[in-house]
Amino acid sequence: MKKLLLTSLALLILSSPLIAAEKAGTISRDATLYAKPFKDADAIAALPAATAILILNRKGGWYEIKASDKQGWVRLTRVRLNRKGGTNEEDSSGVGELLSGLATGRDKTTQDTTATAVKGLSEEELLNAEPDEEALSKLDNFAASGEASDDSGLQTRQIDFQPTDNKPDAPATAPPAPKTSYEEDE
Amino acid sequence: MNLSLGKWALATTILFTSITLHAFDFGGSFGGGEESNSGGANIFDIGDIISGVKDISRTVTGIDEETEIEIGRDAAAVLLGASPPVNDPELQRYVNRVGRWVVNQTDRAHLPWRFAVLRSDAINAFATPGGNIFLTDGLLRLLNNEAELAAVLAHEVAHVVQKHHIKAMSSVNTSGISGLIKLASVTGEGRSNQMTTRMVGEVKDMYLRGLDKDDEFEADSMGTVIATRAGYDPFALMAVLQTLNSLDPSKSGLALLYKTHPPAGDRLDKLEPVLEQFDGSDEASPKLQKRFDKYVRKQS
Repeated sequence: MKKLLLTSLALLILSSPLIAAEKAGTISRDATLYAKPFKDADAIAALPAATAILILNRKGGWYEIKASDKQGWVRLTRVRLNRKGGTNEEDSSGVGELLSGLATGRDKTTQDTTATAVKGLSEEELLNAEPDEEALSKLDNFAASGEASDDSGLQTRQIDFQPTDNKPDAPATAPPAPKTSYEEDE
Repeated sequence: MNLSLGKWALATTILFTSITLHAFDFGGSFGGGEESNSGGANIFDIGDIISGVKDISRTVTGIDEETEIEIGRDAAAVLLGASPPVNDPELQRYVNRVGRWVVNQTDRAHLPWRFAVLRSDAINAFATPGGNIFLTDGLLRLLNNEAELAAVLAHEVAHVVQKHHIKAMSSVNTSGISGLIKLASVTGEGRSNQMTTRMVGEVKDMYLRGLDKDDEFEADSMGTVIATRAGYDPFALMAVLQTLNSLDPSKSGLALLYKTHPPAGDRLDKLEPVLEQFDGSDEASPKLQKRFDKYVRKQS
């Protein structure tokens, strides 16, 4: 009997990553549910803002989701994960894991929401800080050389900075050329 | 090559040109007669040129790179005074390797970049001018893989590339920045005493006040592009913001972060258009889980 209990407990623990992979979320702005994770795939349904959803899977910029009786793919930028505490979720660690597509089983230190004092770099500690030149000099021991290459298979890509709503992202380019009227006058 | 110096040289050239023009005009109007009309046209041109010079000064925010690095060192020492680096050379070297790979995708790779994990439960990251990047142990523990680490570093790197802190320091009052430059250029024995009074105060103010909200949004979008250039998952910074967004904002470890940054939800909204361009088959962008686990989580 005890053995059976242990076995079922073990099974429960083993299967828990599957349960954890289903995360509750909410549609942030009106979105479209697609049959496949592509923009030109068939549209299944319109998902109005604030629709409650269940996230099943991620592929690149897409989440596979369930919304009431429908299932399909939605751009992941239109989804907000539900706040922990408001739902039954145990901790936040599943959130990023789902985005990363990998369950790691890492035991995260659960940070208490009660008003325990934060150690290090709180407002107060920053206010009272004395400059530590020595610690700064020691950091030079760990710096990577300028030529540091990468052996991990990362492939660099050419992508331009995009302008935001308010101003261009790219550093200012060449300043306006001076007028040529001086030469013309001569 | 020092970009700021180049711009200053150009600004000086234009200024010099405008002075020459002025002298020429004066000669012209002295001659008088019907020709004075052309003199008027020249004065109009000079106005354009002078306003052009003003634009340039704004762009470079008035300091050279050497001074920027000096101010940044002082700011870094203050932050380290609030929280020492984690005593884990392997971890620190790893974060520097990731950070170096990230900054190599920007046009300020030549700066003396330093990266460090600081011993703190707070969830936060900091940059100082000239290339010092710190993240707290509290934030590191929330991250899931190297792509997310690279994305956080890239956000901070973007602040340095765009000189957001220098801008924030100069905007407080107009005399502020020139005073800081003077302080920063004092070297040797006399330095530390002067610095501890004024500079430390300025630095603390800035990190307690935070940067311009739009500069934070800009660092999100630029950071995303930088990390993607480095080959990482374009959605990694978004993943970090999702994690932050799912935490109770009244958590004590988030107090300073939210005092100085827009809400994570607003940042996610602003980031959405940037991510439109990535359709995101993420097979090609490794998250380097194993390496991250080895150094950060001490799992082999």
